[in-house]
Amino acid sequence: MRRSLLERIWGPGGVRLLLGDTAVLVLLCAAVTALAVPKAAGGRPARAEVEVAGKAVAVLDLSRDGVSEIRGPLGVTRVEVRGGRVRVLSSPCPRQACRHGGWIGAAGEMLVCLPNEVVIRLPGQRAGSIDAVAR
Amino acid sequence: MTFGSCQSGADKLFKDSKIVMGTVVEITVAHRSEEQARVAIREAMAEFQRIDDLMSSYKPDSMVSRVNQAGSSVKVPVGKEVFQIIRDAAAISAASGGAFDATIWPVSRLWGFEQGGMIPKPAMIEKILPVVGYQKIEFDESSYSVGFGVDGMGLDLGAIAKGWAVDRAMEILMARGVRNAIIDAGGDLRIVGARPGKDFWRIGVKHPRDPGALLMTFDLRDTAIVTSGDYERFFVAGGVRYHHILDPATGQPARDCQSVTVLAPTAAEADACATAAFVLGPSKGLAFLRARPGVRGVMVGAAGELHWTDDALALMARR
Repeated sequence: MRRSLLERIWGPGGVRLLLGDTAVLVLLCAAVTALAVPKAAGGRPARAEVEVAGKAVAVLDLSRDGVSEIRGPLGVTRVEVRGGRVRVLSSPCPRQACRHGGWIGAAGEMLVCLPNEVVIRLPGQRAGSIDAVAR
Repeated sequence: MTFGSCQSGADKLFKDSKIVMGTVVEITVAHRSEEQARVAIREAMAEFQRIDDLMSSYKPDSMVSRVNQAGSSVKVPVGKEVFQIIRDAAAISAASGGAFDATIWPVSRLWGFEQGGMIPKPAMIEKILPVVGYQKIEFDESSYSVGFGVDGMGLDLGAIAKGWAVDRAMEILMARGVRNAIIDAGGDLRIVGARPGKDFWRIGVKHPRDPGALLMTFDLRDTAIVTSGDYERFFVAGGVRYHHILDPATGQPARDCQSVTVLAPTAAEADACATAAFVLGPSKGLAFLRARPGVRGVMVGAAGELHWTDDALALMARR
């Protein structure tokens, strides 16, 4: 006869959960959920907010791959969404710093094109409770 | 964009961000009242624009541009505030032996980092270097006037004005009753108080070679922290990285560091000291930082090795 894991640990005769055991299990489940949920919510945002010259112009759904064109004072910044991340694909700015910023995908991350005044922001708290970054 | 988020305790966090002074300024305020937080943030944000209008070398009507355009025979009345920051810049220039020098403008312009950057011909740099020198700035305190001792000079307050603006903006927040806040001007940070529910703000330091990673994390309150790095403004030509932190002695990008992070009582001091230490390199740079009261630093050398003042480590986050 096959024995359950609990039986193998605690021996034959079955395992009976007392009221105190149940309470401990419930508390454990609650603790695991509390630890897991904020990481899931803060780690991978579902959308990217796009601003031009301080005004919100678009919200990109990070579950839909594609390329969007964002018009700024210098011209069109092309923004690509793929696999839940976002990057600047091309930009009319001279330094291309926004394009060199690569992909962002975590809450609190931001891509900025200063000359074209485009800001792409992933909403939420930065991972690890970081409040700001000296960069 | 402004938003609030619920926190433990009575205060909530309110944020706003704006592109100004050639960077993204983000202000975070912890406050009970959304209305009071919004007013304080709006007034502090306006301070950045006011200071940019006064001190930008790129705006032809700014006070600094008027000085740059005036030539050596004229002292230009710039007002008490601009006079003060130029004098502070000259003082840090002297303390650093000229590693930080606010008169680097003619050389900065040759490199043209704001327009994408180009390598100037060595002869052009050689010709223009003699006009660089903070010792040749002339001050008249009675009229708050500034001039140059030599034709062709120019001021570039870019390595101190952003920090100065952060400090003034924080004064505005505090005058409005804000006691817990962060002002982040493109990574030049001034911090007061703490995040609701904590007794510090947790601040990351960008890794100079891994854009998505942090080099280290500090738990801070009531201080300024600024990082200068060779990754901020640069271009690559022939496999060589040419960045915007120029050595006033050579007119070339300084080569001994990847980044320097400075903690200081004010953002203006941290800003200028980070540039000075970067140009000085790890050994002299640390000595320079240690000699300044209340200043701490972490430097990443050219090979990626870490150097620090001992008191900086005490502020690192404990997980």
